[in-house]
Amino acid sequence: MGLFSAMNASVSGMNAQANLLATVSENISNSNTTGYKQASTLFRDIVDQVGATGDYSAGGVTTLVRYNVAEQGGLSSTTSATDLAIQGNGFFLVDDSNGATYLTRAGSFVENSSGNLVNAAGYTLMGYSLAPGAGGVTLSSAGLTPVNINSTALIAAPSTAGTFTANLNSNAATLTGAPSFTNYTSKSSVIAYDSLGNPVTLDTVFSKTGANTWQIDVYDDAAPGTPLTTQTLTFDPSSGDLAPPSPTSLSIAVPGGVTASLNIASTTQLASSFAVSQATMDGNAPSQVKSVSISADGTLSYVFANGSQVAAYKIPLGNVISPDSLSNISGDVFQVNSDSGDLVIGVAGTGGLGLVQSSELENSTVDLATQLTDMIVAQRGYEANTKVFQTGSDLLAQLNNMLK
Amino acid sequence: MTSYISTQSISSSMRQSILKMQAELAASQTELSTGTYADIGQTLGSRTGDSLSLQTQSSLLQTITETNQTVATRLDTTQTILGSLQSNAQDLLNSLIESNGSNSNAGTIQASGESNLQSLISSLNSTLGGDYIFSGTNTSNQAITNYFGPAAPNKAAVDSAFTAAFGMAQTSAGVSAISASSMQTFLDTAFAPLFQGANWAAGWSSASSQTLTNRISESQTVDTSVSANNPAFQQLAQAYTMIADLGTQNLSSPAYQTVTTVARNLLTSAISSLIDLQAGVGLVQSDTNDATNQMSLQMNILSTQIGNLESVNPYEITTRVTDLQTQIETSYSLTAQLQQLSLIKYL
Amino acid sequence: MSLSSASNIAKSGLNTVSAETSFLSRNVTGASDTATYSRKIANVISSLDGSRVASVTRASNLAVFGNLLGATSASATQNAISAGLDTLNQTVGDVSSSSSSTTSNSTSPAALLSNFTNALQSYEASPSSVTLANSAVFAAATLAQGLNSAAATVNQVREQADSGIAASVQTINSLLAQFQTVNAQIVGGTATSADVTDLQDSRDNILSQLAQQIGITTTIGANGDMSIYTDSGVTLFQGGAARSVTFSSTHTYTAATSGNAVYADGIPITGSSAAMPIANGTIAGLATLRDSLSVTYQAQLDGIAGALINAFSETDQAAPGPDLPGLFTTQGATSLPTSTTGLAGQITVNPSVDPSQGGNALLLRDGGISDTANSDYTYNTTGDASYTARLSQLLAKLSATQTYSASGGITTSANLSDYAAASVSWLEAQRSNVSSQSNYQSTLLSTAGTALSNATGVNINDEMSKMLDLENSYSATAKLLTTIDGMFSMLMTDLGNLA
Repeated sequence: MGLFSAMNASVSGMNAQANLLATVSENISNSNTTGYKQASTLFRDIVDQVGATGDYSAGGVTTLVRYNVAEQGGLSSTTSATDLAIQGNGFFLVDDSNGATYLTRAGSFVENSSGNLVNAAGYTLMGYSLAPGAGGVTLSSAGLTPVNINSTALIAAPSTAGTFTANLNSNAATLTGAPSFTNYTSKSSVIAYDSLGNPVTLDTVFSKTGANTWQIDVYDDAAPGTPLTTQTLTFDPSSGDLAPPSPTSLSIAVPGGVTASLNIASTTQLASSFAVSQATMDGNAPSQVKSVSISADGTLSYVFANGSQVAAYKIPLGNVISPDSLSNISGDVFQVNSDSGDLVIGVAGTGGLGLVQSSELENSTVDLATQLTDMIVAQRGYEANTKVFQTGSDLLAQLNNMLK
Repeated sequence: MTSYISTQSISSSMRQSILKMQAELAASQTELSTGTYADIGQTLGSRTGDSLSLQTQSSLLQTITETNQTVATRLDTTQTILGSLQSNAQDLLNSLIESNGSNSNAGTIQASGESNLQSLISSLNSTLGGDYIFSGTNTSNQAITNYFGPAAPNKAAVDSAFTAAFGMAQTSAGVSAISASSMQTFLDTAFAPLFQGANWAAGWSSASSQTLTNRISESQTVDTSVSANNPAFQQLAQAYTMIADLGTQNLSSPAYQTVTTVARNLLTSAISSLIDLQAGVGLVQSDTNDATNQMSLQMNILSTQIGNLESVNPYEITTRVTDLQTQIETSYSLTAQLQQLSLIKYL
Repeated sequence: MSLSSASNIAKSGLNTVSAETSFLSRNVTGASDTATYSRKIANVISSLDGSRVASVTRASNLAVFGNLLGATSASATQNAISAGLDTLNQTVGDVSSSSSSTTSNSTSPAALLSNFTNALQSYEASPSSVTLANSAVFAAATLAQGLNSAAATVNQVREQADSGIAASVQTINSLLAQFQTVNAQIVGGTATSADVTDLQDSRDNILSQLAQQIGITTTIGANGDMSIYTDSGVTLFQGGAARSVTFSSTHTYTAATSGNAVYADGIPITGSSAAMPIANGTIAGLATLRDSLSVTYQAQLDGIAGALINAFSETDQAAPGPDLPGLFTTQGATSLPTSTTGLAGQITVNPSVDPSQGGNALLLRDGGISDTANSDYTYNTTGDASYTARLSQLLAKLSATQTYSASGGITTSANLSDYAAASVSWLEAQRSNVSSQSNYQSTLLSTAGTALSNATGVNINDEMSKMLDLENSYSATAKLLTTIDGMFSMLMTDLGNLA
């Protein structure tokens, strides 16, 4: 029955064009949605029946909607450090309130009341905690934990390492009397922190005991009774550099803290006045998290009020073999399914994964102009289908009238 | 190489140089009006002490020059008095020689002896600025006791010596009986010692034998007075007293002859001593004058040296002021022009 | 590439131009800022998605800024010394010859000594004159008072220097506290890539102020964290914490007083005992003034006073008794002083010879000033009114060579007048040196300031021409947006009409 099949085919055509219009409508409405991936309608013909010669039934058309998940959206910059975008392949791993893990590229994360980073759709960003005792970067879904930047907590860090570089005046007179806290050639000091975050002033006292020979004593400024450490430094007279067997670092038991290593390898003895060119010691006083910074490899660091930074979380990226096959869920998130392949978790910038960009958001991939032209095309296609249906209907009417 | 200059440094460099020039101008004007450096100490530095030493020396010389005036006045006065004493003595000597021992005009000679003694006493008691100039260092006291004053010790000593020798007063008519030889003995043994040594100091003189000394230049110290204790004055006093108060009018001719002979010898010797004194004083006068002239020359040299140290050349300063004015004016007009030279004017 | 992305790129372009314009206007308003405003530079990066301001930096030149700090300190040192020496110069007064005839208006001990010598000389010429005796004693009293007031001026200079040091130490501590705040903000800001350029400017400003007070060197570590050391290497600020600078002030100075040292980080940085003495800054200048120059000048004045007391001492004329102070003495003295320290402040004319205190000026001629009741010290035993031997002796002693303490820093053997002149020479030589040093240092400072301004300052013309560029760029981008908008409306209306 050719005529009916023609009408059925045009109805399927109308449905298909309606689907196309629907995707255009969805795309246009999401043209400003962060991380939105453009939907496209794919047409596929249906062959009904290939019968004997002269007898033909029209098949029809059916549609398939696919999201171009792998397409990179343009990035636009923002002023929030926790606005994240991915330049390249990969997805952020997010959890919904029930703990189910999804993938997304919508990275407009903000801190919620409990300090977790959640995006506009309410999904919580997952990462690996770098805190001592945590599982570390396991690159499996087992160790994932919500990224928390609760800024109310006080955190202190005891000093563990430092560097002290100075020039000792080679022309200084040899010290008369035994070196002590009050009898010295040159003196400087470095701030270290104990376990509770108290600053401890360490006095580094240099005493010239002979040609090219110095004694370094480190005292706790608050209790300068006995030195925390005493070492003899000898210098190479041909270069002024520290010569063996001088130690290249001092091991200092910071009072109330941990044993810190102070690197003095670059100390020189040249004919110039005493001058300190570098004096640093890590650790910090109890301090609130002032802000966070997120590097391209996905490392989230706490920045304390005193400027020191501590890496707190590693934000991993997830990927699948066929991103376009991922199931699309409301809120610009995608779910792994059998078509897409298994979830692979990795560190940004490695294994074909893209880089994490802080203070950037990924725009919707929708191009309005394309959508508008597609809309016209759908309109014209629908029109044509209705024309076919009307013609079929007219032919049927004539047939009916002929019978009267 | 691209050059970059900030707006700030364009304007500030001009501002700084104008400030500097204005400060220089102010200093130059001070120098022009005073003729010396604006800040002598800072300009001379370690040579400031030299300038001060020269000034100190100059002012010391000035002081000595001024004190030399005082000295010169004293010496002039001394010289004049010595001159008049000498001429008085000479007059009396002449009269004595004329009379040649004759007592015919003994009255006149006695009178002139008396007046010469008075004049000697008043001359030696001359004051200058309240100081008795013949008193040596004891300038607050009269040099010579007035022989004619009431209860004069010198008169009393003469009287008592006379009475002791001859048993009568000088005014007694009996003196005519005194022989020439006893008169000679009296004059030599009793009378003459009254004018010497302790008797002179007790009877006649309150003067100090220490004469005044003065510094008339930086290095020269001279005696600038004559003491009344000088033998010339003692001899004069002795001769005058002899003639005036030994009753010469009434003496016998041989005794009178003896007195005048002794007086003549004394006067001759005193005149010669006076001339020596005058010559000595004249020498000091000339020394003082020379020293003053010398110091005046020295002060001229010193003031030239001080001038060399601290004076400025007015022509140089005038030129510098003119230069600075021109420069400042140029800077002003340049500043105004630079203000115009801005891109904003063309936008 | 699509019309939408073109629109996005144009939008980012507008944002970038706006941001750059805002930096430009900051620069223009900062151009005449005399504080250390540095040119701000917006670093623009471009990508597929347009351009954006990635970071803000400022024009800076650490070497030139270091020079400026050094020149600031050196200049401050000389200024501090110079101001103190100018005060000391009051003790000298006018040294020009126009003001000195036989009696000088000058207030220097040398000039007063000269006046006194002249008065004594005049008196010697007329020893019987009470008027001249009075005027000689008056000149002596003026000389003594001159020395008193010179000694008081020296002590005043030292007191002022001491309180200046105290004020300077206070300023340093307050500047270090400010520095600590600003430095922490810079370190925190740098860690979060915030715009810290204005903070860096204000930190530089604090450093400039600090350099006025004390010579400093700085090092910069990670995150812009700065450490400050004195020019002798003593830590002032390190590890985000200021070290304390302490000083205990001494309010009253006499010749025997020595002031306290300034301590930084527990290390003495001024004074002769300092292991790590600072070389420059107001504190260094004031310490030199207080501990060295003033003390030396004081020793010279004391030397003059001691020599005067010795020159006018009286010898026992009868028995071998001790010499006693005569015309010049100190309050209540019963013997000659054994040490000259502080004599300039205490020297006075013996009341027994001072007519204004009921004394007899003629004792100057006669002797016996030391003890009017003891005739053993009377020279003029005969009471002669024109006795000159003692006066001549005094004049000879005045011009005789005497010995002085080496702590005066000038000759140790000279006559009084030459020693007093040498003292003036010493002071003026110091002033002259410091003045030329000061001129030199301020020229260096001005050169360093100009160099820094040229390296980091703003040229308005440059900024204006940049503004023209930005204006062009903005209008071009706006034009682009209009065109894209036109294309969209074509899609909306013209294609719609087709339907």
